[in-house]
Amino acid sequence: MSVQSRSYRDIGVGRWGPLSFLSTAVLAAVVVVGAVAYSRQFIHGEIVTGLRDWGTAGGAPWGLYISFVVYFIGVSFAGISIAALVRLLRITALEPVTRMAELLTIVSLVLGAFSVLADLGQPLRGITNLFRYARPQSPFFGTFSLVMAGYLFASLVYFYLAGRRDAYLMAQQPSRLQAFYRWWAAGYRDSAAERARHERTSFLLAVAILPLLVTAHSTLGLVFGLMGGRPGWFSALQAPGFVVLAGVSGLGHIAVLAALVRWFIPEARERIGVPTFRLLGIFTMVLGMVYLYFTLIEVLTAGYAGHAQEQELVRLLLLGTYAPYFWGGIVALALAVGLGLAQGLRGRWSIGAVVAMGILVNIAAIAKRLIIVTPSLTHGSLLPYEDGVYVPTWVEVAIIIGLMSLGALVILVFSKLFPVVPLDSEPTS
Amino acid sequence: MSTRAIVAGCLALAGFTLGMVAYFVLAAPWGFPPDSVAHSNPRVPFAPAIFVLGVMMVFIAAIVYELWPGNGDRR
Repeated sequence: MSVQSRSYRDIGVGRWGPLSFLSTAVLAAVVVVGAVAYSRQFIHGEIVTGLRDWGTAGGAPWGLYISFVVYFIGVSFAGISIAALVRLLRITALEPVTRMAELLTIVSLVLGAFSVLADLGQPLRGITNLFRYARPQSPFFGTFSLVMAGYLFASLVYFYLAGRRDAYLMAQQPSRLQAFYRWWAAGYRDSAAERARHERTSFLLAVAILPLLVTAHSTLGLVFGLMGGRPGWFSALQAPGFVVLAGVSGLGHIAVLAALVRWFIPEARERIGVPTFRLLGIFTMVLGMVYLYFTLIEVLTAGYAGHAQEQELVRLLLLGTYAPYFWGGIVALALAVGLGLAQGLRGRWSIGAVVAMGILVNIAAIAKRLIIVTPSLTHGSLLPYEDGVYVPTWVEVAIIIGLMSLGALVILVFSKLFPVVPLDSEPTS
Repeated sequence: MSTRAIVAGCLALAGFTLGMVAYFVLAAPWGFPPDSVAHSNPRVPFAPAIFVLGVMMVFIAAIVYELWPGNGDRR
């Protein structure tokens, strides 16, 4: 059956089963809990969080929120880079996941922005002053403004233009959303000239987006890596480490999302097959190995040749308070790499195993983000302060879980409005 | 060269120029000591917003290029 002759309901659009309703209701309820928690923080201030000043106040001003800013922005990396690489290198096996990858990028960037806002006591003042006074040369500006404005905007443009053909095809079938599809298609008629033009535009966009996203993720790493007075952060490996871990966690997310799409939309199974998961698994495995190597080098350098505070921080990570996070992350990442190696050696890749790899690398990424942000603030002072403590409160946890649910909810609702698998994809299995 | 390519190219160039001007001329100047007031306040208020606008204009050029009306778009 050709794609054009299919009903839009065959690709999940407009089809709301009991499972979809239940998932939407649960996710919406969690989002409401997160919103209630945020309203509490907005009214009472950050005293309701576990965040405190470092030094004399004995706490950490950055905690769960900033850890998840780094995590969300990391997840966004793989989405748009996969879309760009598929376009540049013609990786046909990954074509069916390009739209969900682009969507994941947009959603996770927005969640990253919300996490920054959650971390600010006065969000509106923060936004205004940033655009009024910030230095474009500063990594902070690069992280928030360039990532959110440049990178997010570029991803939205890419997403919009890439979806025009499917919007045109969807507009050919009668539905309540026909006007919306016509608006998205914006006069597109799928002519040879339009297709050629779109090829040129997406090639140029892909070429422009790749350096932009490497810069954006490196700047995020430099926010930490340039802090000369903060043991644990000051490292030349921060920027490349951020880029690599971003790739690992994002690829893992795409594998999980692709499996969910297969589960929710059985018709998508013929498109998103083992070859797609095999490539996702290989990329995840290789980047996971690179990140394990970075971690080893970082620990060896800081632990062997670092000054006293640096060595103390390494001790805390390996054997002290933060050891469960450190070793939990390392074990999860090593397991994911091992799963990939085992499948590669057998020459047989399984969708379940790649999804397990995706979940494991994301556990590792969250653990790693937590130990990047907090230990250097609680235990990394070069001044003679007592060690600090940071324990997130239920408000912070509820806001972060609420944000994650919001992301899942947006993706779920979008999948009911628009094909998450491009209509012109070739079957991969 | 088609009109659409010229318009989109000009928009991209204008966006790039705006970004560069905001970065190097309108924002806080480079210099030492970097934490002094002279080197920390932007020379023009909202220079960072102008820089972001420039970046956005470069990408809007892609939309203009694809959506600009022209001949030969019929199937």
